[in-house]
Amino acid sequence: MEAVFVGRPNVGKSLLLINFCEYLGIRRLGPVDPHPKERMPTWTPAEARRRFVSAFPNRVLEPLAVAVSLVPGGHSGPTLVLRDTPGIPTGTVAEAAVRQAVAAGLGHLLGASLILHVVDATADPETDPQAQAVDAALWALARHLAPSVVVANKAETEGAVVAIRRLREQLGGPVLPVSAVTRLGFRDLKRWLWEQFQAARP
Amino acid sequence: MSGPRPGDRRDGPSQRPASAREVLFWVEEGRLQPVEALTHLRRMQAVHPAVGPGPRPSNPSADQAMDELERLVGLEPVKAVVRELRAFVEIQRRRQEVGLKTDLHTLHMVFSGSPGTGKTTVARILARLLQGLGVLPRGHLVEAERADLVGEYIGHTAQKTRELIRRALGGVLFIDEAYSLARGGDKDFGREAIDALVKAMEDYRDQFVLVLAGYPTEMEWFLATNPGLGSRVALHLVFPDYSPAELVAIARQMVRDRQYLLTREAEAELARYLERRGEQSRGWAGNGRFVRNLVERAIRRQAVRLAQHGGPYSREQLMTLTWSDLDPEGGGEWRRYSWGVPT
Ligand SMILES: Nc1nc2c(ncn2[C@@H]2O[C@H](COP(=O)(O)OP(=O)(O)OP(=O)(O)O)[C@@H](O)[C@H]2O)c(=O)[nH]1
Ligand SMILES: [Mg+2]
Repeated sequence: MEAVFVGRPNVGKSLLLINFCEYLGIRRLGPVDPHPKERMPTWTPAEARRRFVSAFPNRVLEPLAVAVSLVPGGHSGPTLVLRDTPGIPTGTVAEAAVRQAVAAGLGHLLGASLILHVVDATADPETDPQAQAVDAALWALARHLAPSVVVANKAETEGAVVAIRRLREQLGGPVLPVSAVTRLGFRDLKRWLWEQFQAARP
Repeated sequence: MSGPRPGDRRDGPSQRPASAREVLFWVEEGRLQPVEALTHLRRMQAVHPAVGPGPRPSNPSADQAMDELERLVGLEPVKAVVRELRAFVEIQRRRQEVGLKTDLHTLHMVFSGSPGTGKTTVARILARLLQGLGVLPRGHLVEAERADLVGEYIGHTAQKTRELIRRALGGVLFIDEAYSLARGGDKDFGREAIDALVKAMEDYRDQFVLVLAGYPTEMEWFLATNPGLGSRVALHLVFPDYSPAELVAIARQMVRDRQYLLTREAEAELARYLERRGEQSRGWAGNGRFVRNLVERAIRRQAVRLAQHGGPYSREQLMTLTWSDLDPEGGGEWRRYSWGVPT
């Protein structure tokens, strides 16, 4: 099963995924299902933050995917794959490499079993209509593909409360405030994943 | 710099991607903006539910669900409403595609009918139908009754109800004997469950479909005295009791599914028996569960009969159920297999 992190660029998908994995007690983040013969690279959370998080949008085009176990205290038990995707930009994209990565990300979205739609709670959704259109279209699609939740990241910042209220009104679905930096809301996020994971397993 | 700039639309705006794969291609080529891609994918989701790479649980189409419904014995009024519902949803989708106002919020339903009239079966089919139509992403059915919602102390009920709703998100939450939530009066925790349900219908609009099921009169009273729920329920499906002929058809289907046969005498006697019972007692006589119990018992009795008789057995003998196997009033163990009447 795969839970896919989607959202616009720079909302903090990558940092959220890495810090959430760290919160779950994972020491090495690496590709899922490595071929047994090849030694695939893995990273510590600190290395992963340096490599996959950037203050500039759409810098990282080969996002991480990490297999995690949600069983308390465990590396055993059934695993869920957490998969990052490149941010979905507004407007047309000039670089072919970014377009290709975004298309691949959409492919993963279509195959997702669970969807975490990450939004930036510091950005007031009222001020950027283009960004708002992307989030509205993304949410409309996501909720019809798989069990989905809006994750409002950067919720530790000032003004997040207002933005989150607007989001709830606009998107009309469950919104989970979190902060990748302070780990606010990680317990709720874990609970949501666990419940959906339990419910969706055959 | 030469060549087409991303975003140039050489084929004109009338061109539309035909499949999810094409959408992804066009994004790569810069022929579609990401936001347009999302909108196209959303539109296609209703038509081609299973697209994209990676394994996805199979998504049985609406047609398949409809076929299954049509194959059920009887239930004509139910089938009629579901056919209408399907047409309604499809037209709303079309409207959505061309940017007209749509109303898909109100698919919560009441199923009223006696026990054993096919309510759960239809709910399960309906969940898959709505999935096929792109309304519900998961299309599963969560069955519940009072005990699954109502807790033992203050706060427990709201928690249990919320949990149940969370499990049902993306599918159908089916509450059997729903009126029993209001059974205990105002101080009962059932009230809390009703309030939590009403709240969930607001909080998770569009994300699940609630089906409240139970006896017709009790359900009528329940909805009238709980307008919060009543006003949010748009569809009312009435499950009639099965007629004797329909019950015989159900028996025939069950027997065939299990690779047995009913003798002509057995069918005729069963019909006569059901007619007689039906006149004596309304309510439970039209009960599919009763017929299922009869058939299952007949299969056991046939085995006993054949064993006593001794082999070798022909294929036909191994398949045939006689009236003596089926007869509800013959044989010793019948009382254990109740009529399906709640006691
Ligand atoms: N204040 C604050 N900043 C955050 C938080 N999460 C991420 N950031 C910052 O936001 C910026 C973008 O983070 P990323 O994780 O790279 O964002 P992304 O969504 O993966 O971006 P793309 O890969 O471009 O789509 C970085 O500068 C992060 O440090 C948070 O919870 N609070
Ligand atoms: Mg990133």
